[in-house]
Amino acid sequence: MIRNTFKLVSNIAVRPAFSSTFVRQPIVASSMMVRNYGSISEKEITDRVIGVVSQYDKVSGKTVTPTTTFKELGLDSLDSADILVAVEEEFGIEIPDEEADKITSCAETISYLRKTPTAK
Amino acid sequence: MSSNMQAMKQMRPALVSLTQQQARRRCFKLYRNCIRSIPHLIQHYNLSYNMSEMRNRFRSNFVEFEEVTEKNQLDRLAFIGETELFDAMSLLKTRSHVVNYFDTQPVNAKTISESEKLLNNFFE
Repeated sequence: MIRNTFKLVSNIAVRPAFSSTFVRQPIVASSMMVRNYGSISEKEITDRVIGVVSQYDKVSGKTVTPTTTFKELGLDSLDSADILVAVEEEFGIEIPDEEADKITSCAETISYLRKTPTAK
Repeated sequence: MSSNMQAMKQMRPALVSLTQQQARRRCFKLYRNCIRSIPHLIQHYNLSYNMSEMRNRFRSNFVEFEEVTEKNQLDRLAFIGETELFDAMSLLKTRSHVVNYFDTQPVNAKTISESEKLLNNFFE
């Protein structure tokens, strides 16, 4: 019974934790461009990561760059965990605990996402 | 969802951390699983809270014990949290239990309100 409940519930789409005010630029399709669905460009990863970090409550009003560390933004360890879970929801992946403990800046987040082929 | 359930089942045994760093990592792992579980708790128990409110409620439990550095105590606290989360996600709790958790704020000096601070200053 519990198993069936979980199977049914897992199919329902869940709204993201952060409000989607960060609008992604639509990709202009052209006949010459063939989009590689297996990977995302580094610029897109960077923009989306900065968008997720900027939407966090304690980061509002501060400037986020690809080289910003979470400590510079005044975030503690629990805030880093919040942001990493939000990044997981944004890219549709699950960051292992060993990797999540090592990530302390936007650059490390971006480099990890670049290594992850399942990010969407 | 299934991966989250697997992660929580792996969390279930009462592991003993060898180092204080390992115990801290276990607590952060529990916190991440708590945040990941928020959408599922909303669906299962028909909750009407904001996700940020629920996240702050989970956070208050961790901030409440942030002075604890002994690894044995961290293991005990993490095990209690893991068991509570596992019971909630396995639908072993009823809705009143979950609502009671989110409606009750822990008594903590950091989260004390302005009026209570004023009263404390008045009584001193």
